[in-house]
Amino acid sequence: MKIIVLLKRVPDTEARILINQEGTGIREDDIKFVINPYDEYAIEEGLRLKEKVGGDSKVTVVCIGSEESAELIRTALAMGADDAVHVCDPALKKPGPFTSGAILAKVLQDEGFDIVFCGKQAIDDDMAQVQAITAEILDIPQVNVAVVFEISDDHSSAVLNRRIEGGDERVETKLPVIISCEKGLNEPRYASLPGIMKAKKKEIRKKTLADLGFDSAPGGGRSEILKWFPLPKGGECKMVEAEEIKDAAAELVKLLREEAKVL
Amino acid sequence: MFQKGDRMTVQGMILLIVFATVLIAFGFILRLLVRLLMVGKPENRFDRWVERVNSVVVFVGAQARVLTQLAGLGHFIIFWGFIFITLGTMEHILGMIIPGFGFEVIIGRTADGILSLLLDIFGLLVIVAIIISLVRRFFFNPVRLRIDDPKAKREAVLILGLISVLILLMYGIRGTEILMKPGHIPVAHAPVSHYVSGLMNGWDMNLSMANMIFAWIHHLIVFFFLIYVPFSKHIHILGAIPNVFFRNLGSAGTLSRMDFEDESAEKFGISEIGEFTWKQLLDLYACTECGRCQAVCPAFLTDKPLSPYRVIHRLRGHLMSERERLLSKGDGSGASDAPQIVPDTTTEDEIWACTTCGACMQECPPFIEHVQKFVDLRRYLVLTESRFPAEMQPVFKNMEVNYNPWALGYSTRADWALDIDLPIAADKGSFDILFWVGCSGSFDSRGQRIARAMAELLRRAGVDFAILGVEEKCCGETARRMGNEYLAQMLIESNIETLRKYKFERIVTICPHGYNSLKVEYPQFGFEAKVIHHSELLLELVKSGKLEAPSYEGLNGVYHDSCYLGRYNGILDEPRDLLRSVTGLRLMEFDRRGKKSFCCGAGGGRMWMEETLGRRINEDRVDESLSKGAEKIFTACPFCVTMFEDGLKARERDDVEVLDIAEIMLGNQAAEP
Repeated sequence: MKIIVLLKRVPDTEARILINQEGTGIREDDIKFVINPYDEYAIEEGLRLKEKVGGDSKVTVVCIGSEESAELIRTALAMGADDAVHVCDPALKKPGPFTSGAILAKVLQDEGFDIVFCGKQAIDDDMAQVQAITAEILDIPQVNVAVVFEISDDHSSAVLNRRIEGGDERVETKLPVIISCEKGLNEPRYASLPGIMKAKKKEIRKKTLADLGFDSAPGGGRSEILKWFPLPKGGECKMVEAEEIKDAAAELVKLLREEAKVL
Repeated sequence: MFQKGDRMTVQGMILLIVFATVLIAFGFILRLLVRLLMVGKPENRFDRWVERVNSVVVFVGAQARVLTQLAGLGHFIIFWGFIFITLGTMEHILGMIIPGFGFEVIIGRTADGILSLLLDIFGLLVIVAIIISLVRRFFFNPVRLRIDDPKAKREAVLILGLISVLILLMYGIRGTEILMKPGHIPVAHAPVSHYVSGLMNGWDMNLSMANMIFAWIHHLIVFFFLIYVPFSKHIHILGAIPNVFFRNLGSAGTLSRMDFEDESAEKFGISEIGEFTWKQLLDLYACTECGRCQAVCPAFLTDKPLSPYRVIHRLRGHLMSERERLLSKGDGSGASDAPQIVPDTTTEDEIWACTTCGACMQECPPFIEHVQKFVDLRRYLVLTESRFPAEMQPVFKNMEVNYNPWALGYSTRADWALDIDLPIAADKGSFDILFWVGCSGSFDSRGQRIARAMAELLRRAGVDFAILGVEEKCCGETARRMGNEYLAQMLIESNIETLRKYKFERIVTICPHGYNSLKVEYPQFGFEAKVIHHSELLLELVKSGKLEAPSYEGLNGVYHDSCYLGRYNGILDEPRDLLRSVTGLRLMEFDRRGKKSFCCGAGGGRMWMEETLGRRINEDRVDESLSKGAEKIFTACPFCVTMFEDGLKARERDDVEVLDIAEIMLGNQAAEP
């Protein structure tokens, strides 16, 4: 079985995010990058499926990203993925969801696949569109926000639970399919040291847009990010202090009128 | 030595044949034991010979560690009794084989007489010691002798019983000899035997026949011993002395350094018995199951499945039962069918229960090194199998990504000091003291209060210091003790690179874990610096008059020794002297204090793990402080502070405050801005 896992490099959840001066992105100097946490569930589910199905099953990681992404691809390989495709092209600065979808669809077609796992969304821009767009281009089913995944005995279909508001929804799908993974699907493994050592020798096939047959970034011209800007600073807490309750109330009313301007 | 005209008797001939056979068998057993050791991996314990010989004199000859407990006096008597009695036995056996043989011929009459006297008196003392030991074992059931393996108990009784029988027989032999050859052994050389001969005088028996029967039974029991002992816990008679000789003369707080150079390696850490070093295997021969380790083990004492000596006991049994496989394969490791120590011999629950507090190693009379073994087994589980309690994974990931065990961004490491504007190493370049804040001081709100107190004290005393700020990373101590040597080494090497950029005289830490790590583990990676704990520096500043000790109106508290400060590094007096410099502070002491202090439960990565088995260690320790009537608990470790505060919360005692020594030295001014 050919299993593909999509991976994205995102700022660490604990990183202090600051927008750069031009509003074109975030300041990256003091930031650590990690594998998108939801993608970790995807990697783990891909590996578990491989272990379950056995035979000549293979897990391939596909990542669109800068040179620095290679380090995180290695982490996925250390966890147990077999090889990887790294789409890395200077023309791909910040690919939008249509661009990523078009590229991924091409890679998936080239690689061939039975099942694709990815995170339900990347925690950087929270768009949650790439898996849908990729599935639409390939004209295959997609099941999103999966918390349970069970493959059928003949490996031709799968039953999944999707986490929806207030409950789970059980769905059945034919393969090939794209599945986006939610927290709770599994507990991603910690790469063992032999895994880390082996990963150093595993193949990462680097592809440019030209390698994939694109002259320029595909899927453009649909939507575009204009500007990034930080949230206005949250108001500061002010304690009203007075000897008498009624003086405090008067002061509070005054503040609400004059400073907060809500009355 | 043959005297003219004497001929070997038939009896002597038979004894010679039996004795020679037993000696040859014993020789084979020794060879087996040595060959099993050689299966182990190399470890250099062949340096510092003078100190090693000295160790044997002090810890074997004078039984210095054995005698730290009253029960040890019994061992002291049995040990020396055994030496004298063995000499006497040898003399007797050789005398039966070689007519006319006696030590008298070799060492002279006076020395022989003294030996005879020692033998005579020690025999009696040994019997008394054994009776007391048996009574103690069976009627008082001391904590340290509780073992879950009934075979171990039977073994102890068998050996002690046989030793008693041997001594009674010895008196029988000597008593009959005195009767047969009056005047041959003077009363002064054998008062007890003379007394026994007096008792036997009225008996109706053939003296020479009785003498012969006693001698034969005695010697056969001795021969049985020679063959039986190496396969019982009494193997320590053979193992303990070399184990003391080859003991760790370095810091007990240093774990072995793993080598990750070999990228084709498939396995890291230890999962099979043959992967231990020869010294670690020798440890197994040295254990007598005295259980002193168990009686001080925080895991065992809070009803967790771990007891250090039970693990050693089972490992020795495992080594013995695997001996043929180990010896036939040469190095014995790597075979796919090889039994795994975890879970075949010991359980994951045991391995993870250890706080690495080191109390077991501090107590162990033959210097067995338990903690390294537990960490070696953890290393295998973590590095090779990636199998460990689930709550450890985020800790590892946080350390990898953000260089601290908490899930907090690394770039916020110096935020605790934003408003107090501390000197940063990168700005200063060179300074006297590098203040190593550590993860707790940097990220934990409680630890930050200690860090702020320390920074304020350094300022007050006019110390030229700096912090590394965001350049500082987790020291790696916790990852290392959790078995993640790979992560630990990444952190250590990165920190060393940072430290090398700056010029400073000394490093001061507020955390005993960072202190131990920087002081005794970083040198393994080529970084040597003068590392001091804040209790040392603060005391120095008070003594030199640079820092004024504060005064309080009635501050009563008990001081808790952190394992990595007190037991591992011997910093016992400094924090106490510092506390004594404070006016109005009444210092109380735990019963378990100093090097015998009881762990707070946070060590060895336990801080980051669930404590679901047995009682909580910190709560036991809190109960101990409450029973002392302490109004405050003083300590010098941020992790101890956390554990005590959690324990006090569990006991709903918010009236008791936990204070770090730096907070006390600050006086009543709050450390908060």
